[in-house]
Amino acid sequence: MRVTRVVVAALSLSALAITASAQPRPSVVTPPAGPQVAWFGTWAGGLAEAKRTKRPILLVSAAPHCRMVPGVW
Amino acid sequence: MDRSFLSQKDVIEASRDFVCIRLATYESAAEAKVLKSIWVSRDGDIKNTTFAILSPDGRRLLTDAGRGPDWALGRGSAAEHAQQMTRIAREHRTSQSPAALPTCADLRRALNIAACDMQPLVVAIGKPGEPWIAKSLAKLAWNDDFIGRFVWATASRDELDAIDGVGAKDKLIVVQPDDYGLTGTVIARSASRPTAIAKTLRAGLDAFRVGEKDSRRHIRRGQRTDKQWKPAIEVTDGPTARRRDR
Repeated sequence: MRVTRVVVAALSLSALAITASAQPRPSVVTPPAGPQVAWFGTWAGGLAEAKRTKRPILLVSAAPHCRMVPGVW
Repeated sequence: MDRSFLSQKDVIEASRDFVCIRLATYESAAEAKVLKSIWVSRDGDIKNTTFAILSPDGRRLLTDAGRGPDWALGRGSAAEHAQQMTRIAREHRTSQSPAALPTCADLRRALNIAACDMQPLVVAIGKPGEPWIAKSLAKLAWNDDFIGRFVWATASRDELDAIDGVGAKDKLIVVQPDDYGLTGTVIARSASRPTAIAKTLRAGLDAFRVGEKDSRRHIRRGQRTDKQWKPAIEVTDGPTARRRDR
């Protein structure tokens, strides 16, 4: 009986964890309110500027489409 | 992309001590090779997103790399991550500021990215090395009034088919991208005199209109109306890659 309870509790916790991790990202994106990060859009352009200024590089990559539909990160 | 992190005030402020590079994944074989040298998933491929902090020569990782800021900076709030970024930047103190125009690779990509970012797109019509672009316009891109407010591109006159309303004498245009970033409309324009450039950028910011975007509805409507993006190289993440694997 005790073993059953432990198994049920473990399964419930797993289900909760899966549900939490499967939460979709927010669907509604709001327009930026003011200045954002100033991005170089190419590796060559950004790297040249990092070498010249001796500043470290913050590198991000992202696909500008979702399910092959453009206009959304 | 983790907009919730990158749009935080602390993070934006901390980013000013870095050279920030954002690559469009799957749009360049050469850049995919760079990304692959920085981080790959267990299956050996790049994924939709990568996040890393690198030395100024681009050769050394200053943090772990991974899919997002948590992988590089550990679990924490945006404010804590911003503090870490500032600590890293302090180790690379420099008096040199970015001065080059931070452009996208081409107009097609720039239009799409402007739509993703919900920002106006500035297009300089001419060659990147022309003094008014490389000096006057680039200087303004880093000015407090304009930094982080636009997506930037250069293009020749015969590359402007997707933009509606370009005048024969226009040298600088500010463009409102459509929701999908496949076409755009000129909302401000000028010749290339430095005084006119700043005025045009201000006019573009004033004229730009954008509302909230519901990603799920956007994708459903895009699929229904055939708004298709064709990546330049193979996609190795998400439903497209899974369909390929089956």
